[in-house]
Amino acid sequence: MFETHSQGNEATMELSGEMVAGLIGDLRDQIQALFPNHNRIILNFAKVEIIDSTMVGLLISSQNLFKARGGRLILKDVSEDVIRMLRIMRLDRHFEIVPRG
Amino acid sequence: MRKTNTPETIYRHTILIVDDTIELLWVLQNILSSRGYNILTAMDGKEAVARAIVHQPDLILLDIQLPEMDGFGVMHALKTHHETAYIPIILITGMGELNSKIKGFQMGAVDYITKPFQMEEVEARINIHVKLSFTTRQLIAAQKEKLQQIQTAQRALLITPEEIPDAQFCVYLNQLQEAGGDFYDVVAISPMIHGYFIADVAGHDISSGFITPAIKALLKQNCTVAFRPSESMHMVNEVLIGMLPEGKYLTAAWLVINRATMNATLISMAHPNVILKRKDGTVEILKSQGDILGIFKDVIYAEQAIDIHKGDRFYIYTDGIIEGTGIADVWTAGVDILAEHIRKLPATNTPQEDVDLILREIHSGEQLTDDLLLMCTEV
Repeated sequence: MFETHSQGNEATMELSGEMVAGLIGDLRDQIQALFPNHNRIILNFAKVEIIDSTMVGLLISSQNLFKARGGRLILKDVSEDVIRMLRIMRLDRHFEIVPRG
Repeated sequence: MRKTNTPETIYRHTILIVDDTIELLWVLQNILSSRGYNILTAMDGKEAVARAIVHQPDLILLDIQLPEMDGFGVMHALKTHHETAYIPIILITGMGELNSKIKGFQMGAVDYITKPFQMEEVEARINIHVKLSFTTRQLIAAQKEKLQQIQTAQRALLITPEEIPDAQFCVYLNQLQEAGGDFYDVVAISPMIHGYFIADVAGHDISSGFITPAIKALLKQNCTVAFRPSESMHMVNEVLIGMLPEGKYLTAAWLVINRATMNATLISMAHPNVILKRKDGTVEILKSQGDILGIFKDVIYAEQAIDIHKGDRFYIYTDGIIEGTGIADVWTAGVDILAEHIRKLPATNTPQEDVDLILREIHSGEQLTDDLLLMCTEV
C-alpha cells in the first residue's frame, strides 16, 4: 500500500521504489479507489527512479478513466530520466507533469 | 493393485530459511523438519537468491538484516525474476521495526513474524501460506501449459526468412515467457516492396499472446500498395484501440523497403531507434518519432523517407537488446553504444553473422530480464 493523503477534492499518493511489473502490486486498484471522492489525484514520483512499460500502461489507463470522469491526474516530482522517456514516447502531451525541482 | 506412497512419490513442501544467526536457523530447521517440511537454509542475501532460483521453494522465511545483500535486496531480486516472483515471503523482523514491515509489504511480502518467536504462531502462519502457495503453483502450472500451447501457435505464425527470401532478412527472437510480448512480421506488399514490423507489447501475459495473431491479420489487411505506410499504421491503431485490454499498448517500428525505387520509409511508434549501416560502413541512428500504438485516437505517425543503396543494412530491435545488459538501464541511454557495436561489425559478415555477433557481444551470459528481438535486413 502506498501512503495516501487527501485534502478536500485532492488526493496525493506517495510512490516509492521501482515502479515495474512485479513490484507495483495492486497500484491500479489503489488509484481507482480514489476516483469517487476526488477530482485531482497527484502521484508523487519523488522517490521513484525507474518505471517500465507496465507502469506506463497503468498510468495511461488510469489517466483515461479518470479524465472520462472529469478528473485530473498529475505526475509530480518526476525525475529527468523518466520525463525523457515519457517525452520520447510522446506521452508528455497526455499527462500534466511537474519535474523534480 | 493398490498404490502405496514410496518416499519418492511423497511431495514434501520446501521452505527456505534465510538468517545469519546460526542458532535461529538451527531451531527453525529442527522444528519445521520434524513437522515434515523439507528445509533449505541460507546465511546471506546472495546465497538466498541463488538457492531460491535453483530450488524454487514453496515459501521463504527471510530476515531483513543480512550480510552481502539485505532482505529488501533479496526481495527485489526474487520479485523481478520470473521464476521466483510468485514464491511467498514471510519476513523475520525485530520488535518495533515498523518501517521495515511496511516496506516489506510494499515490496510483496505476504506476512511477517517478530523475534522472539512463539513457535505455534510461526507454524500456523507457515501452514497457511504453504497451502496458498501450493494452490497458486497448481494454477500457475495449469496456466503455463496453456501458455505453452499459445507459444506453439504463436511460433507457427512467425514468418521465416526461407518463406520470403526476397525480403532478405534474418531475425533472432527469444521470448522470456511462454507467451511473449515481442513480435515481428514481414509482409510482401508487392514482389519488390516489403514491410518489416517489429513490436513490443507492454506486459508479458496471456493477452500479449492473443494480440500477436490479431496484429498479423491487421498488417496483411491494411498494408498494401494502395496505402501510404502512415495510413496503414493509422488503420492498425484504430482497430487496436477497440481491441486491446485496458492499459495494453505497443511500441513498434514499421519499415517499408522498395527495392525497385531504392527508397525506404520508416515509422517509429515510440520504438527504440532503427539503425542503418551503409554499404560504406557509416552508421546512422534514425530519429523518426511517433505515438504508441493501440491506446490513443489522436496520433501522429510521421514518415521518415530514406534513400537506400544496394548493400545497406537496417537493424531493428526491441528494448531488451539494450536494457539489462550492462550497456544501459533504459534503451534511450544505450542506442549510441549499440550503434557503435554495429559500426565495428566486420564488413565481410553476412546479415546472420551480424545478428549472431551482436548478441554474443552484448548478451554473453546475462540472465534475461526481457524478450530479445533483433532483425537485420539487407537492401
